Amino acid sequence: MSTIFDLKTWNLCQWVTGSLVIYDLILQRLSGECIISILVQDTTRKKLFFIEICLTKLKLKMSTGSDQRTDAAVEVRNYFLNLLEQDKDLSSGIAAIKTLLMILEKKRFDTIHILHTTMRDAVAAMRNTDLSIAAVVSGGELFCRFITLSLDDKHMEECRQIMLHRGKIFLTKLLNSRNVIAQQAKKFVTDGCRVLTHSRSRVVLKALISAAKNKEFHVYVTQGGPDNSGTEMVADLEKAGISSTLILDSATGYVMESVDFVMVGAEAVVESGGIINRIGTFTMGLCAREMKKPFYVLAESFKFTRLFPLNQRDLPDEYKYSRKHLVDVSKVHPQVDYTPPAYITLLFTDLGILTPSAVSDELIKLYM
Amino acid sequence: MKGQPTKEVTQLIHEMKVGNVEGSYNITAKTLKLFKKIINGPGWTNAEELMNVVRTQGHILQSAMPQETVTASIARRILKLIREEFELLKAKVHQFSEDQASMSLHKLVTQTSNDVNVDYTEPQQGLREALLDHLQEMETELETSSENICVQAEEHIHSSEVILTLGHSRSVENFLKRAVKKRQFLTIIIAECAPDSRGHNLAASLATGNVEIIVIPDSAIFAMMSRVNKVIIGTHSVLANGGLRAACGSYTVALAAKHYSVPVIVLSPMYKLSPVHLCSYEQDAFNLVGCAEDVLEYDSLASHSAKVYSPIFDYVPPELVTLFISNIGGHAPSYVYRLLTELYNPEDYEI
Repeated sequence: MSTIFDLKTWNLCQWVTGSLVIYDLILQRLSGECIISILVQDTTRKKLFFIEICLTKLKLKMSTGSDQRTDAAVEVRNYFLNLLEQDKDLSSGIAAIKTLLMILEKKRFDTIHILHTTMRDAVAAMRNTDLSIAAVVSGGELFCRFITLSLDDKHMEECRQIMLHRGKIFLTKLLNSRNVIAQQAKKFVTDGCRVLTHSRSRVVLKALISAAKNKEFHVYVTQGGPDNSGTEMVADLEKAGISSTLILDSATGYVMESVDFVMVGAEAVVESGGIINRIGTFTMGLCAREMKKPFYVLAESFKFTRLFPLNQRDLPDEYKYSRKHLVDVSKVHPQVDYTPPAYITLLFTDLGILTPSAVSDELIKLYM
Repeated sequence: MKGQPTKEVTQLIHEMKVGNVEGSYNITAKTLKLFKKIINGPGWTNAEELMNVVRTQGHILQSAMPQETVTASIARRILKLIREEFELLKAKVHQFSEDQASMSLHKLVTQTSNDVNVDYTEPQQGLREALLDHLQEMETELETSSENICVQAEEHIHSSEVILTLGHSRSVENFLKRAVKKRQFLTIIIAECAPDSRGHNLAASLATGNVEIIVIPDSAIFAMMSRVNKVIIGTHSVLANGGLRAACGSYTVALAAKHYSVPVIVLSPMYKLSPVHLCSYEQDAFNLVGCAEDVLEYDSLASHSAKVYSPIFDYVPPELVTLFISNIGGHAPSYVYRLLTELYNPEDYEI
């Protein structure tokens, strides 16, 4: 509902009390959803003064209103973390998009501006977790872009329906992307070949499992410090009946001569066609290049990020370090590194098999 | 995909197998003619049916002669043509058109309907005529492709240059002939490409008064490379990543050129572009093994105890190629993926 105050008809006395009334009303109503418009037609200085009082007080309330904002942020974060908790196989990027879609569905938006700020706040809230943020950032950005693209000269509610509809199609496609990638990549895994992979990647695991249906091959998995998730990868592979060896991260150079190709996942694919992935990937890329082994990257398209790092230093700190270390990064170990496109042979994505140079083409098509 | 080959397809496969039809150009021309006949024929009533026929026949051609990628590529191009024409005609009727051309990040985000597949079963008036028109264009493009490559010769070859080539490629022959006419004091070094030694034919055909021709054995490629200004070779087909499937010996040439930083120019008309990736060297039909008689005679003493191979193709990785010259201009290997998306529909990559 909306309340309209017509200041023109008030005299001074009314102004004194009126401003208080307005103030009270504002206080009451702010908690609910309402619009207060103040019509000012002939403004004398005194009246202006009162309006100013009203607005300063309004601002005061607005600043205390950030409590609600933090509440919302906590809610978003919980929902996001809960999604990831429920389904261990869910990528954080997809969880982020799911969360944003939930917000779009649950909340009402009167203006585009509000919609955009809410989305931005939600992405910020999700970035504020201890997970690796690369996929959250790219997923969130893709989603926001998608909102702008679906806006025509239509009514807000109509737009919302279109967005929701598109969002759902978008999500189903994304959920299927790992299968698409696995189908493409499995042709490259031949009978009797030896594959080297870095730590744990769900999409690499899926590709290897689908290739194992009619082929036998061996997989070398690096331990993937600091959290040693390579152990998990080896367990998963063994469960699927694929023979595998866990090796030290530092043994990459040692095994490189005996493998046929390298296959890694990625946390983000940047504009140059390079990738951001768990620390040690760059080392692996360098080794593979030196020994002339193909270096394949498997990544879903929502991981395409608008970032153009030229070296390791260019990567934003929040990509490299966990949140608690961000205050002082001089003594901590980075969690990801950047592998330049020159070291990548091909990228397998749900958009097809791409050369690194094709990545920027896709991004330009979307963001121009 | 099941289906019977038409009589013409069987005939073409037979002729290719016995070697009556040779060379990518001839095969492409024949295949195009064959598909034209299919489109002209009564075997279809709507786009869907036609696409199925083209796909089936393309598949048969490809599985019969997997090393000849041009047959499948022509089928892919025709499929794309059918899609485009169908949508164009449909758009004329319904006044709207949604770009279905290729999968992209942009489309992923903006797609409104769940139904990605267009219904191609709707009959469209004038589809046949439109397709035949376009096929005519394709034929013209094919016929003029060699000439269009040749006209670029002057841009790349200058007077007093030393050019190295390998074997005998028709595109290279025409290209060099044009260069010889326009430029003076050229030296052309031809690696003979044993055991067929087709380089000798090229040497014979280029031999005129105002050009110096040197024929060398393949083993001398590296030794000669230091004095070469440009390497110009042809190719059997261009793979999706910009790599080449070219005559055996091309890899040697490309590596030697890399060592001396000599630019490698590859002449490849657009119909040689194929959306196929080299998955591994053991991949089916990537290479062929030719007759080994020329390498080691059957009745020689060693042939009892030695294995003799004479592979026909080499894979040349894209980083060794400097430039592709096609009938529509020059391209870097990293640009090949872009040309592919313009030529074919990604849905037809698997035929």
